Amino acid sequence: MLSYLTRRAVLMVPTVLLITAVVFAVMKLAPGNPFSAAQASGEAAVRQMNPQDYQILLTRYGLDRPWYVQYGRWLGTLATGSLGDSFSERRPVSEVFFNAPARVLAEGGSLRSALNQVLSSKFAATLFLNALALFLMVVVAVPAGFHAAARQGGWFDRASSAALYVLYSLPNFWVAILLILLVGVRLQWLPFIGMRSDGFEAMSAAGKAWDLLKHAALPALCLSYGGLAFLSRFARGALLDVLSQDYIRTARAKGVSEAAVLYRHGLRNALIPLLTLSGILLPALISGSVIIEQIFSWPGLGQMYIKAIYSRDYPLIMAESLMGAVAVLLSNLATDVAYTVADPRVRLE
Amino acid sequence: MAFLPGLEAEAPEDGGTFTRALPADAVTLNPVIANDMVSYLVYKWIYDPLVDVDQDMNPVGVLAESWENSPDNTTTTFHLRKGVTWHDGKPFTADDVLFTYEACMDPAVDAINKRPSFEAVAKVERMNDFTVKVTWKEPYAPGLMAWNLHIMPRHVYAYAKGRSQDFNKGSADVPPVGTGPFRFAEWKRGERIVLKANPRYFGGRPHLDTMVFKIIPQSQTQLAAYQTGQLDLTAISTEQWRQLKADQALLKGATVFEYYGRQFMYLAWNMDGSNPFFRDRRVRQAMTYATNRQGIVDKVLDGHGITCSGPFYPGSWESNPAIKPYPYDPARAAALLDAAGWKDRKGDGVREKDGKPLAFECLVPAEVDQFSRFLEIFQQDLRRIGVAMAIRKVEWSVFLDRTQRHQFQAYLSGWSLGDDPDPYGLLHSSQAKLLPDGMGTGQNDVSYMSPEVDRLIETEQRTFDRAARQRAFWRIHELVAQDQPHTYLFMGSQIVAVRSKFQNVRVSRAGYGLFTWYPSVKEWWVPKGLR
Repeated sequence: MLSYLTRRAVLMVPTVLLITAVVFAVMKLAPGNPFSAAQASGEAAVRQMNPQDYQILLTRYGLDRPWYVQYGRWLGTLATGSLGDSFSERRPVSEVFFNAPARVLAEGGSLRSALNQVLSSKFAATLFLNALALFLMVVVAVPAGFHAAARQGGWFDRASSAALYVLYSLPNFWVAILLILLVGVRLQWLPFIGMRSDGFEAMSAAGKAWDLLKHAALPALCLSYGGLAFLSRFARGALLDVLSQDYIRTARAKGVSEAAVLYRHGLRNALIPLLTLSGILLPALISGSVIIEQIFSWPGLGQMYIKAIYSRDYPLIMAESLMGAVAVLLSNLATDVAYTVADPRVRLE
Repeated sequence: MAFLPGLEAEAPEDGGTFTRALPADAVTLNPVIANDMVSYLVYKWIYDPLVDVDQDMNPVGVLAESWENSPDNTTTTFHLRKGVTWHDGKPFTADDVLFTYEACMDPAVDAINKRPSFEAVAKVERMNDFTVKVTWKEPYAPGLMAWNLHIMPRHVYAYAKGRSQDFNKGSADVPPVGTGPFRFAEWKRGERIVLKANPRYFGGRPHLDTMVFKIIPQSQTQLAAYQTGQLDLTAISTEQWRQLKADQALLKGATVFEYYGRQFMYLAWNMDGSNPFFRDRRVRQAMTYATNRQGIVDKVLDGHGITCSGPFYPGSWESNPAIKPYPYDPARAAALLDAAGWKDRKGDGVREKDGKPLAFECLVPAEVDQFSRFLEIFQQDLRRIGVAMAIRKVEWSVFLDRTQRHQFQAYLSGWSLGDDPDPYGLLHSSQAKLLPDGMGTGQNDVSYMSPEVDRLIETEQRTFDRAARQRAFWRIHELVAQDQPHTYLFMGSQIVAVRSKFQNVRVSRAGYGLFTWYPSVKEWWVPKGLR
């Protein structure tokens, strides 16, 4: 097992290199650079740069070199443990993602304040929102799928699949705006801007948690409902598959109660294919959702990523791609390991 | 304006919070390296420039109490305000002005968009603690507005050569310290920026206690936030305006301001000879006659806009009142094209000349839906007179790259002249040159070459007498209207709703809106009973 993990980890390195090299090359193929994009960011009234100054900038940041030289430099910076400096935010990329816990510690701040830095970062904001959305998705979809499979063709099966397909076909940016107008403006039940109220700092721990949940409710709902149909159908299919197996028939033939057949033998085995899905769903936790974060002014990575692409903020794009690649590879590995736990027939060598 | 009865006569009271939205987070609050509009909207209140523009776009001294030119206009002497203190209590002096200027000019500092405005400056000298003398390479009338530069404190940055990397990284580590009417209080990245009134402001403290900027990227969300009382101001698009008119309740308690923005929309015709169409003035004139600009203002913008005849802001002193936009006249356009030799000989609906069809491609930035909508209407207009225009939507960076390299036949975009109406970058022939790497020198990407306009611009730049300068601008306006290097389209209205409890809210009469002039927000106040 250990040797297997080591081998997989070592294999990850060339994969990550290949992915980042391709991303870097593609990114460089797009015309423009951080300074040509910045030159006219939004307002036409922005005065133009001198051509000489422009050249100085390109040289200073090495943007006039061929892409593989720039990629090499990026790798060199990465090897020193740094993600480089963002052009569009004018601060280190790591700070854009995680704020500056290390600096707080270095300046004599407490561990608690360093932790607070991370907790109030863009990374945490996106992770929190997506974890909540994923949680909502799983707690609704998996039981619904299993329930539908247990009584295949019954009213619940047909009603739930119809309802979920309707949800699946509603675009989430449209639903988001409807929810803002209805729940946020008309009824004023839930907040719809950002992730914290004014005066958040002064709240008690429970008050803070409640405030965060209230702010996350609408965006999390928008992020999760579309996936319900997919996940519940998947759960339903997995259970149906298991229920048609010989060992289920054997159990039934032995006179095991229907409940025990379903819950002890059926569900446990149906969970195995669901593990495969986690390999797809987990990386989405950090990639964020561009549109939903924009609409709800959620201070997360999704919003920042699209800005980074438009402003040609190479270090930021690369950091996000690197994290995405690593997350996918790690969750694939985690899935494989989880198989061995869930299914004794699987052995990793 | 919707005043509450009886309040307009009362003396302003101190207190209250004004909350507005920003479409994106600020990049940096360091005014020397900031080059985006959003950062400006915030740092403008923390820092003061030497000179700003007032409600009518006339120069107004802020940190400079007064200034005068030498008789030959080769130097400008600024007399700085005495007794001004930085937010940390230290006195403001001429050293800070020099520090800021030198930081802008240091090649190691990424002062991307500040340096070009100082090109005409030969040197800046400190005469004493409160006097700064600027020597110009040659008399340069637009130069004064370069000093709409927000002054930074030397003692905070102690910036020395070689430490520019820290300076370039922005103000993450250093909370901004300015002289402005508001002090920096808090910046939660991606969420909000908070400023507090500066009680020791030289011009008296602003009446508002607090200014909050919330980062809300989507305009629909912004409007919803206004409706639920989380914002005191919202911009309203033409489409939103249509809905709001149906639901008047939403605008209850709001004062609505409408003004024409400074940005004019235009179609650019490439005259560098790479296409057989646009070198001929008659073809360019025909394009303007053939496009129904007023129709777009009426139908697409619901009347919220004004057609224009040149790059100057309509109604301003530099704009020639005798020049009117070309009327929409397809027959005249057809006659001009006939005269220029472009005729539909094959009867396929497209004119041709020397075997070449009058068919071209027009670039448009894909990010702004409305731009494409304008262009689709123009496409129909042009088809009617036998011109085939293809629309090519491209991403903003691609658009910039192609236009800066002059690799286009036509494009649609927006532009505005700076605080000084000098059109050098847009219309002077020297600004059409391409550098060895293929990038254009200036904004004259259509390669407009008019010796008379060149001469007028050179004269206007050396003329300090406003009446004489105005004559030059008026003549430029006339020539541009004849030559049509661009088809000038219109300026769209900006519609802004502000809660009526805010008193003394005024809008610039030169298209600068509610904030981009001095003193604007500093004069706002809220009666106690309405806070």
